[in-house]
Amino acid sequence: MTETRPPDVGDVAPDFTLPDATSTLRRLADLRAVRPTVLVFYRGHW
Amino acid sequence: MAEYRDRFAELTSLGLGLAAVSVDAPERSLALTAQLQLPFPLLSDTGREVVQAYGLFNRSEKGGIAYPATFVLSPDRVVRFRSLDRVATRVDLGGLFAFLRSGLEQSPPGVPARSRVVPAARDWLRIMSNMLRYGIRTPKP
Repeated sequence: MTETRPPDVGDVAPDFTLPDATSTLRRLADLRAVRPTVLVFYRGHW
Repeated sequence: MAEYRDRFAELTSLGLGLAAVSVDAPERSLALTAQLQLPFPLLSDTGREVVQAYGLFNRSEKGGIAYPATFVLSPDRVVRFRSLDRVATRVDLGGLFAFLRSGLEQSPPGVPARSRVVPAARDWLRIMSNMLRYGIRTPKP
């Protein structure tokens, strides 16, 4: 299986739906629909 | 995360949203949100699917976590800025904000307005005809 590479500048970022801290489902396409968004991936709380 | 919180007002004033993703369960994200008073959503990718879809899956730690990364996405989900960090836990916010303040649509800096240094053929023609007409003039010492 080939390793997926992170989307580069100019690529379309994959859409997704994930629960937030209150377990409410949030869809990326909805978060971004109105304005540009900074999307951060972090290692996680220990 | 605390750094993003501290600069969140700046992001909002620039018209941007912010969301963060990790493989933490929602309960942990909730604790972190409360602890750091985070104003933006923390999304839980416990299945590691999104992290893998973004090519940020770090298998070697704690059963699989995300490599740190920051993207700026336009409303059509196109990546406008990307910062990957495979080693340290911190992403450089200076670089991110420099990009954001310079405008999301700006072309790369450093491109001069003139596309050539050598005169065009048209210019050579003018130079030659001037030389023939007026002679080659040099400043008097």
